[in-house]
Amino acid sequence: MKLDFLKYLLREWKISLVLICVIGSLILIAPNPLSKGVVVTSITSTSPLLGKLQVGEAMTWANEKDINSPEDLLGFENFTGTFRFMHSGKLDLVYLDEPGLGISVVKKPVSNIQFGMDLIGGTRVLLKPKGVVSDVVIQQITSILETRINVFGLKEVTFQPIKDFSGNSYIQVEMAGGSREDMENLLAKEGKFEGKIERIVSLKNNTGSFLLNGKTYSLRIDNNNTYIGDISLIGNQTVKIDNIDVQNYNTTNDTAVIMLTAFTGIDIQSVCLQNQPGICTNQIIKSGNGWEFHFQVFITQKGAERFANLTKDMSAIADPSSGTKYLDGKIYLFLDDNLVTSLSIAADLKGKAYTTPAITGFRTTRDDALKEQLTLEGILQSGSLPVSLEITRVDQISPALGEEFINATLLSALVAALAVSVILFIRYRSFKILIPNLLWSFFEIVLTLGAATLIRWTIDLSSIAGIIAAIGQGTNDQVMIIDEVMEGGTGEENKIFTIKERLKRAFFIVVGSAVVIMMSVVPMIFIGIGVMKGFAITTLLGTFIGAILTRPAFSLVAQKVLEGRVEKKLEKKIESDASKKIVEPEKVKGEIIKKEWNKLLDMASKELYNRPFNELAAEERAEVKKVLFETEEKETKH
Amino acid sequence: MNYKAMALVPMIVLIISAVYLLFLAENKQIALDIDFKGGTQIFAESDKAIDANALKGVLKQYDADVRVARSITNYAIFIDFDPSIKPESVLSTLQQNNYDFKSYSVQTIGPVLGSSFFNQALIVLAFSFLLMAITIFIMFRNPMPSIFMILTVIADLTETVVFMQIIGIKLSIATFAALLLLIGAAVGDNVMFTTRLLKSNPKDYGTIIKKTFKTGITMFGTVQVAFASLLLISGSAVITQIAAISIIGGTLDLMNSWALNLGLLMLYIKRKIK
Repeated sequence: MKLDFLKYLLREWKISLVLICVIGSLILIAPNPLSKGVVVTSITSTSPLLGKLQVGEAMTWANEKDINSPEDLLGFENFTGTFRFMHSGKLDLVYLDEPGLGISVVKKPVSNIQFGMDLIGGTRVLLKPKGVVSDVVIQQITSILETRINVFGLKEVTFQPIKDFSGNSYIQVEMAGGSREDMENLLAKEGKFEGKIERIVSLKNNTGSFLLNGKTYSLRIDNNNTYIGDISLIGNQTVKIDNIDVQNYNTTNDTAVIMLTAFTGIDIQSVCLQNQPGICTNQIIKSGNGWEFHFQVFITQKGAERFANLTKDMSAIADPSSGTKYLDGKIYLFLDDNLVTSLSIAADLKGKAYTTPAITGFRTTRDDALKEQLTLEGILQSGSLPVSLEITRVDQISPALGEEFINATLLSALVAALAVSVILFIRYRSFKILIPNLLWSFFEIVLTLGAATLIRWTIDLSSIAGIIAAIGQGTNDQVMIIDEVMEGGTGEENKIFTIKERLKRAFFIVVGSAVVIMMSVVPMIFIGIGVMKGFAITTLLGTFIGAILTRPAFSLVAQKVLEGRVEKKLEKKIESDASKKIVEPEKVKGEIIKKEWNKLLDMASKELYNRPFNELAAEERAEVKKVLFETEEKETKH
Repeated sequence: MNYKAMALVPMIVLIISAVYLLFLAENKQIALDIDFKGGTQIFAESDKAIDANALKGVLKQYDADVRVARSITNYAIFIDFDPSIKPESVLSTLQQNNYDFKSYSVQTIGPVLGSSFFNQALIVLAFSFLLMAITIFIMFRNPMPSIFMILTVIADLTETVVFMQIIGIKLSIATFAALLLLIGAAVGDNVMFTTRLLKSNPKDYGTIIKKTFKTGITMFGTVQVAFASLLLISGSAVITQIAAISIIGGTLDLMNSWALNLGLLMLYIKRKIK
């Protein structure tokens, strides 16, 4: 009997199609809850593992320890010595002379479903360029930001240009790692770089003089304003003197400090991203009670010549403690008008084309020093942005919260399924109805996830809400289909409408509600630059799959499952009647038929002779019976 | 059955809600979440009981708005404050006062972006509604029952928004999405009984209504218990909000569908028969 049932299911192409699609979806999703190891998402340019390990590789083991989560690797953050590790099935080793692996990893995914950052943790930033910008500018900005992110060491970062209703352009950046502060420092910085050399002018009676390009310029302070010749330097405004940008920096009673621009962002040819002895330096060293980073930048010939011009008029002074000779003015490096580094200039650089100034900085922890170094490297390497960016939206989710969301969602889905089962069981009191119901809901989840994987849609929280909405609608439709098949829902039982016609009507309702749902969520794709896009997409997918694929198949299953249920109901009624009257069931059945027959006889006699059957004469009774038999025969032929 | 009285009660509720909503809108008193007005929100979870007022006291210097929601497994804490305040400093203040939330999310939305989202949301609502109305007209090709159904959706939306405002659920993108879904989900049972009543023959209305209601109440029950489990367990702000709106909207829809829409539809059918 069970085999027959299965055979029936497989014979129906609609059901087979659903099963094939479910299997196909499972293959697409490829669930593998037992997967081991972590996947490398990024390697910084200073990582000791650089060159040994690739982004996207799996790491499963390190120094006798199984690595199954990012936390497992965290134990090696302060490790120095020989670090042996297993990656993609190969054993490799590297000697760590200072702590820090410089890689970031995520847990190896258990399936092909891509989860959004609100489920795995991460940062999403929405950047708005100031003013109206063209698509070309957006592309330019994106490639600059990509350079910064790459230098910083974050990989697997997605950039997405977005436009809203009113034509405003945005760039959305999403990444698994990276903190909010990192993003603000790295992405929203315009990246305007300037290298300036100071001139310290000693004042006497508020006047003094300095040398520039071999010429002497007079400087005087009047009413807190600085004048160079007749040109006034108001505030920190920049003025051009002999083709050199000059800026007032700091004035005291006996000195005035002015800044002369030597380099700007366009003078940076490249940044030393990796320490190459003899070529360029890039390092972090312990210094006092903190860490100092140090990396060189390469300046163009033009910039270097400007440096030579500005330094040739300077004089050398000796550092009293070490005796080393320096020029009487430092070079200051500014980023977005903020001072980053100030360096003393060695005396032997005077008047020389200096092409490799170094950027240095000091932080109390190695991590902070590295972060700052990478941020500066990224910004200097990428150059400045064509327009400044404003961070208009930041979402940051800790990985722990994301994981909790996944677990809690799974738990609540299970509880929801259980609660729905209880309701369905209370209503139908039959496992034969309940099981296909739950099975079909499960199929719909698998199919929707499969479709999402197929179109490479990222499943985020709102997508999950959409799947839930679609499944809810699916359960509703199943209830309606069952009721249509079982009861007709119309009170006229199964006389006038055949099951086929009733199902046709059920499908009008199923398809109708599905279309209304799809129509109502479509506009959501465009709201809030796609924040709820996931919700709309999965609701659409789920509802569509339900209406064209799973529910037609479900109706066939429902028909088969409910076959004979209506008849059984009648039989049960007769049985209970019989037990009440304490008569043989067969006899009761006969009685009922007799009663029905008598009713029909009465109806026919009233139609023909306008009198009840028992008042008719014998020949009249015969005539009535004849007519009845004839119509009965006709009906059966039909 | 007295269909006039049946339709009258939900009609009065609708009118009161509409007037109240208009009043709120006129006075710009509709509570909007940071999605629509801009701001920073920290969402955190804790398995210890958190007192909203005590937390608010700790964060007094930031003028933060604190809400605590309880689920079966833990407490969800929402902290809203001005976008100009650095979330890091709020988080460190929390830490200093022994509120150490291991799992949290921080969301910042600029005020300009927020208000632009809100305008977009209104346009989207208009489109959703229009598409829904067109679909219903095409499906039934019968103006009156279609109008009744659309009126039901209007009633569902208005009353749900008013209810949200009263119990303090702010309008956010997530709750807004739930409202849009309500447009689609709410018409399900209406489509069912309208189809059955208009397309069935012979018209034993009492039985049809009885049996359809049995189906409708089963659907209502399954959807409500499913959303209730999500509401109580899921712990995510997005899903919790969507579940809450769906439960409120679903319950109001039960009244609007089976009293307002059905009442009007029966009055219409009875008049047509005469």
